[in-house]
Parts: sequence; structure tokens; C-alpha cells
Amino acid sequence: MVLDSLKAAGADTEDGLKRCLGKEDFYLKMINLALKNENFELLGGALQAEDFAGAFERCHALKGVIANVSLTPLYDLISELTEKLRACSPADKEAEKGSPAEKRGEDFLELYKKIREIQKNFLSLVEKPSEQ
Amino acid sequence: MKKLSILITNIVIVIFIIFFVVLHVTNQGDFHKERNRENFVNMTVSLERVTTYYLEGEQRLCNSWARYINHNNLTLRQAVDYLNWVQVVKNYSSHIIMLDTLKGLSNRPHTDNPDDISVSYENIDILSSLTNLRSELEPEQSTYLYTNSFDSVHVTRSYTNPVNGIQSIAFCDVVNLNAGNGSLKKALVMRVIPLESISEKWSFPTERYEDAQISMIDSEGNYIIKGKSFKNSNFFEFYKSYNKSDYHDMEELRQLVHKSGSFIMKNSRGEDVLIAHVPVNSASDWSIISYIPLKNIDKNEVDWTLMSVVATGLLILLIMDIFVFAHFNKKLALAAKEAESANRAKTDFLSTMSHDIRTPMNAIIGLITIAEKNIKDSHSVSDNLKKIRLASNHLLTLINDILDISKVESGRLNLSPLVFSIVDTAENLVNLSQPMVRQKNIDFRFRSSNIMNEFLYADQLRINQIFINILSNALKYTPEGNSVYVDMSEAPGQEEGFVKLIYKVKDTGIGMTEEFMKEMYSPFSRQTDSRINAIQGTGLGLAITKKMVDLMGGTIECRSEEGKGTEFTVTLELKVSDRREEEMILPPLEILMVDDDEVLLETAGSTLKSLGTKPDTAESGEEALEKITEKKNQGKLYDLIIIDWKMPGISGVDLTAKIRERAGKDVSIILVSAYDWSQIENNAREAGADGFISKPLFRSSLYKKICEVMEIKKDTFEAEDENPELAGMNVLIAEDMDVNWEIIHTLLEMYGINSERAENGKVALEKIEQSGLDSYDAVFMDIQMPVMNGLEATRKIRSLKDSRLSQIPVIAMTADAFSENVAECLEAGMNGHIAKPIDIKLVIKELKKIKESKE
Repeated sequence: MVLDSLKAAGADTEDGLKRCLGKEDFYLKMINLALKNENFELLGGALQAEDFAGAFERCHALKGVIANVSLTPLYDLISELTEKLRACSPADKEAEKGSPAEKRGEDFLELYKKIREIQKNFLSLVEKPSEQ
Repeated sequence: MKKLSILITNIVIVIFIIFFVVLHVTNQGDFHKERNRENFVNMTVSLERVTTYYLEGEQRLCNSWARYINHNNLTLRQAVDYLNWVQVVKNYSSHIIMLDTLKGLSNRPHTDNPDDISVSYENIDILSSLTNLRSELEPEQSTYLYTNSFDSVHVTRSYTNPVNGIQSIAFCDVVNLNAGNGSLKKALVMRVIPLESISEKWSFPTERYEDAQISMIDSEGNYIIKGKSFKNSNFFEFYKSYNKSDYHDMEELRQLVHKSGSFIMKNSRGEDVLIAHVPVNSASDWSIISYIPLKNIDKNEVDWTLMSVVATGLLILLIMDIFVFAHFNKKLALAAKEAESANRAKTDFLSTMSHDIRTPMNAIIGLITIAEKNIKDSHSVSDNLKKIRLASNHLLTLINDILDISKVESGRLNLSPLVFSIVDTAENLVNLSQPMVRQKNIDFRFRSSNIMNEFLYADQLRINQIFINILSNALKYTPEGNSVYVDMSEAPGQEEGFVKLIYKVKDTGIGMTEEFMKEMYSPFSRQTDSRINAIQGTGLGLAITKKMVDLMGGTIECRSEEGKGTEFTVTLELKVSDRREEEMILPPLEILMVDDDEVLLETAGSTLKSLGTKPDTAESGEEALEKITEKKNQGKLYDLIIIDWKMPGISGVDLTAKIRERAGKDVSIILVSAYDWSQIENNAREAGADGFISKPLFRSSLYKKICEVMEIKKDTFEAEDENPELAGMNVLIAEDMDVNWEIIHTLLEMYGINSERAENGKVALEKIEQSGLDSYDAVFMDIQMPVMNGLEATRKIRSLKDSRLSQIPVIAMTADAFSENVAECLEAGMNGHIAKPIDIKLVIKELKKIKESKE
């Protein structure tokens, strides 16, 4: 049931299940854990504080976590944000010059919002049965 | 000749031994004969003793009667009554006769008249035989002294008892009878005993002389006791009847028998008999004569059993000796012959070798001379140098071959097996043969079928040598424009874990004569033929090949017809390596295989089928195009088209271009070629080929190439129980994210691998520092971590003082898969890199590598 709804929401549950060696309980537990990761909150804080380096770290960490549970739509967005944040890390000066920080900050926040939305959506799918 | 003389000597010795044994046994027999005769005489002597005792006993009885009669002064009548009373034995009797009248009475009556007891000796000359009593027998002489004590035996000769008519003898004594009126009258008391009852008592006591018989004779030769075989009534008469004798002889005989001794005479049947004679002491004119046929006494002359045992034994010994000698002789002769032929082979080898070495050497020297002459003509010098190089190379090959063959022949060539890929070997073969193939424009095909086991365990170098030798021979002796086909296939081996690798090289070359084929495996045998004089060769290749095949326990077969071609088949039983290939299964792709070689189409088709694809074949470019069009009309496309580069009609490259025109870009195209495709690559790429593959088409190479071109990710997931060797490993996971840690921890647990978590790089470093040796087999390190990131942690681990701790394998685990990130990781001293999301297969693979390198 839950898996089907996750799949309908775009998660590659087959891949995720395979990674968990076909153990559904474990997989769902991991999804739950991944979606409740504190980095979602921390990422938001960092972005608002325009701490892009910190935000990159959070985002990168989230990318790894979400990749492991194969929530593809969420992963794609996080990946996008990660790459964008990577591009404005201090090492990449050209990118820094390219567009003003404020502009970028807005972009990031917009992406972040989407990420949060999808995260919450997935969370609702996972939490529903566990509450029952 | 020598053999014969030895044989004769042996036989002579045997005959001599047998002869001497016979002689000895005969002598022994004679000796025994003597002994037997002596024994016989002795026996007779002892018998005489018994006789004497008996006679004396009888005489004593008679004497005692006489004494009683005398003492009691009995009348005749009284005496006879007394005797009748005293004599109990029924068939014995006693007579008393008056010496003057020779008449008297008997104590037993006449048989015909029981009342008549009178007896008369008037008609019987009885007294004459009582020689030692004669003086007492005068009836008038009154002064008779009866025998008071025993003096001698007085016994009569045998006579017929006048009372009952039975042959008897009588023991006698003289008595004085009361004749009335006080006068005495001399009378003779006779104890009369029938001969028969005496004879019964006389016989030889031992069974040994069963046929012996006894007689007792008096001085006249009359029988007192008569044995059955004694003929006539008188012994002398008996002798005379059957033995030639004159008067003189008879006199001698009379003398002889009254002394102890023995002699041989003929009996009534003309046989030799032994006679032993002994005088009876107590009656001096009697003799005991014993009789035995010689054949009985000389019974055991030769021990024939012993003889035959000795003779047979010797004969068996002789025959066995002959066989053993013959066997050894044969062996020796064989060994000598072998040694001789080996020696000759060596000499031949040396002379041929020297000859073969001299040829290129001469060329080198000659070319050097020419070069020296034209030292200023640089063009000529360089040309000569080139030729010298060719000759030197040939010389080097020759010497290498000689070394190889001498190694094989001296048994110093050892196989050093190792795991190798038969696919690589085949590819190498194809590459090596390319220059010659191109140069001679040979139709060269290398086909493999049913190669299920890529990795084998054998001496790759030697196998290569075998394959190359045969293939290069085929290429060498196949004229331009002809074909050389190589087929490599696999068959089940005879033992578990082995396969039969069959390597067949078939050419349409010059072939070989039957005579040559007989000795083609011996060193330096090259067919001498005008066609091949231009072809360089040492004549050692096949010899080496054969030896190596033998060394590997394989077989090599050859069929050849002069002018038509040759086919060599090498079959080797090889061990399959433990190394397992990944299970090679492809999706059910629709593949079109285009080649003009039917055999290749068939073998490649079955290979593709076994990989799980749906192959279709076309024998020419035209047919392929038709099939593609047909498919297109059905609204379908082949997933993949594999095209032979070299085909009659439309070439592979042209066909590729045409297919691209018709089918567009959605179909993948692989070009197949037995040739080095670096030269054709550009053209082919332009025409639209996606990839290249070299012939022979092995299962594994096809699979790899198709995966590459079709971008098929290998489904490499393995079941947990396939890696039992990893169980018990200890791994440190540096990971700040709970989810990631949970997942990897759980997954590793399923493989039985213990994992420990470090929340960041610093914790990881501390844990490693504090750990004992070997407590962690590996570290999986996240890169992005708070406090200390993975890169820094790794650098610190690498700079630890304890080399064993600092050498611990560290694998990066990161969501970044960019190459610069990977490079950064490796720079920091990490051993590998795994991208997130975690692919447990990759993790396991890394762990396996670590485990293997440790072992």
C-alpha cells in the first residue's frame, strides 16, 4: 500500500527495495528516517542566513541520504540545489561573479520550498500508515 | 652359436647328474641286496637255533621215558601201556621195538584194526640213520648204558610209519626191557612224530620273507621237512633236475650244505633262487635249507621315484633358466638397440643442426663480405645489413627452437600452469597472424564455438607455442589467395573440472606427402620440395609442437593431401580455473548477424542465443538490407546489427552506412573483423558504426561489447551466501548521517560483516588510533562530515606512526561522482571510491578486493 503510493509519487521503490535487500519494513523505516532528517531544517536556516557554504554541506548530506532511499523527485531537486550551491562555493569565483548573491539566494529559497513540499508530501505518505 | 653351446652344456650337465644319481641308486641297491641276503642267511641261522631247541626238547622227552622204563624194569607190554598213558597228543605215537627182531608194539593201534598194536620195522632200514647210537644198537651187547643224561639227539630219517602209513620221524633211545625170568632185552623206544606237524611249526617269522620256504634235509639230501617249492624227494635230486651239474659238483654240494652259507640255483620255473643252508647242531647230518626267489629279496633296486623327481626338477630348472636367460638377452638386446638408435639420432641431429645453422651463417658471412667490398655504397650496405638481419633472425629462431627441443628431450621442460584467458590467447593468435594474412591475402577465419569457460589453468606460454606453430605453418605453406580456417571449440572433459579444448587449423595449402607425414614430428624433417624451398623454416616446429602436446597429455592429429591442404587438430585436456565469470545474460535483444561465413554465423548465432538474445542471420549485405527493410515495414527495428567487415559484395563499412540511411540512428551497429581495426576505425565511425569487435567471437567478448554498445548495466547483484568468506570482517564506517549509517550497517550485517560507526572524521581517526592491530579490515569514509571531513581524516590516518594502522584501506563514500572528487579522494590516500546511493554490490566488491590483497 505505502509502497504503491510512494511509487505513484515518483519514488523508485524497486531500486530502493533492492538496496534494502527486499526488506520492506526496513526500507520504510529508512525513508521515514531520511525524511525526518534535521538537515532539512538546517538547510533552510543556512540559506536564509546566506551561509551558502554551510547550506552546501547540508544539502550535500541530504543528497546522499535521499539517494539511498530512492525518493527520485526529491533527490533530483536536492541534486539541483546541491550543484547550484557547489557553484557558488568560494572555490568557484567565476560563478560568484556571474550573478549577485541576492538573486541566487532567492533561487535557492525557491528550490528549497519545493524540496520541503515534496518532503512533506512523502512524509505524509509514510506517516499515515504508521499512525494507524 | 653361443646360445646353442650353452644349451648343450646345460643339457649335458643334467644328463650327467641323472646318470650319477642312477649309478648311486643302483649301488645302493646292490648294497641293499647284499644286506638282504646276509639277513636272510642270518635268519636261517636263527631258525636253526629254534630247530635245535625243538629237537633237543623232543629228545629229552624220549630220554625221560626210556629212563622211567629202565628204572622200573618194565616188560614190553608194561612199557607200551606206560607210553600210551603218558603220551597225550593224539597224532603222535610211540613205538617200542626189540633190537633183535625189529618187532614190537605201538601205543596207538592200527587204523584198520583197533585191536592190533603190533609194529614191525623189519622192512624199514631205521637203525642206519641213528649213527651216533650205533654202538648201542647191537642186540647182543648186554652192557647197555641208557642215556642217563642228554648227550645228543637221536632221530631217524623220515620214513613211513608202519602203523598208520604217515610220513614221520622218530626220536629214539635204548632201553632194557624185562623179558621175564629175570633177563633183560634191549629195545628201542621211538617217539614218532608226523612230518606234517613239524612242518607246520617251521616258517619264517617276518613278513619280509613271505615267499621264503624252509626244508630240512639229512646228509643224503632227503627231506625231513619239505617246503612247497622244494621239488623231488631229495634236495640233491631237486638240484640236479634243474641245474646243470656233474658228479663233482654234486659232491661239492653235499659238502657245502652241511656247513653254513648260501648259494644261488635255479628253481623248477627256471628262476634264480637264493638258498641258505645251516647244519643243525644237534643232529649233525641234518641241515636247514631256506629258499627265497631272488627277485623278492632284491626288490628295491632303483628308487625310481627319487630318480624321476631329480630328473624332472633338473629339467624344469634347465627350461626356466633358458627362458630367463632368453628374456634377459632380449631385454639387453632391446636396450642396446635403443641406445644405438638414440646415439644415431643424436648424431643425425647434430649434423643436421650444424648444416641448418651453417646455411644462414654462410649467408651472413657472404653478405658481410659483399658489404665490405661496397662499403662506400651506402645503399648497397644498408640492403646487405637488412639481409643480414633477416638471416640473423632466422638463426636466432633456429637456435631457440633447438634449445626448446633439447629441453623437451632432456626432460627439463616443466610446465608452469597459471590462470589465463583463452579469449586473450585467441585474440593474440589473430593479431600475430595478421601481417602474414594481409601480405599473402589469405582468406583467414578464426571461429570459436561453445567456449563456455574463458579462464583455464594451464601453461599458457606452451599452449600459445603449440597454437602459433600450427597456425604459422598453415599460413607459411598456404599460397596466396587460399584459405586458412581456425576453429576453436570446447567439449566436456573426461574429469570433473576439466574441459577439452579442440583447436583445428585447416588450410588449402600445399599439403604433405604420406611419406613425409610419417616422420613429420621428428626434428629437422622438412619436406624437400621445390615448392617450399623458398620458405624459411627450421624443421623443428612440428617436433616441438608434438613434444609439448605430449607433455600436456593431449593429442595431435593430422590429415593432409598433397596439393589440397592440411588439417591439424590439437586436443588438450585443460583444467578450468576456479575464477568464475559473471553470469552473462543479456536482455532478449533482437540481433542481426551479417557474415558470409556460414560456420561463423552458426557458432555466433548459438553463442548469442545462449546469452539470451534473439539472433537472426544474413549471409550477405543484400540479405541483411532486405531483412532490415522487412522489419521496418512491420514497424520494428533490430536492436543491434553485427556486421562482418570483410564481405564479398557490399563491404561491412558500406553496409553500415546503408543501414544508417534506412534505419536511422536507433539501431546499434557493431563491426566484426579479424583484422586490426585501428586502420579502418575512422571510416567505420564515419559510416555510423558504434563499436568494433575482433574475431574470434567469444561468448565473453561478445557479451562485453554488446553491453558496452547497448549501455546495459550489468546486473551484478549477488546473493548473500555467495560471499561467505567476507563474514566476520570488521569495518569502520565514518558517516554523520543516521540513515546512511543505518542502511549500510544493516546491509553489511546481512553479509555477516561487522560494522562500527564513527560520526565524523575525528571520531574515526581516534577509533583507529585506539584500535588494536587488525581490529578494522577497512574504513568506509564519507567525505562531507562535520568537525573533520573524510579527506582530512584520511590524510591523518595515513600519517600515523604505526605503519600497520596507517596502511588500513580507506574507501571513499560520497554522493559526488565527479572525476575531480574521485581524484581528490585518491590524492588524500584513499584506496577507492564508491558513489552514493550505496550499491551494496560495489561495497562487497571492494571488501573482496581488500580481503584478497590481504591473503
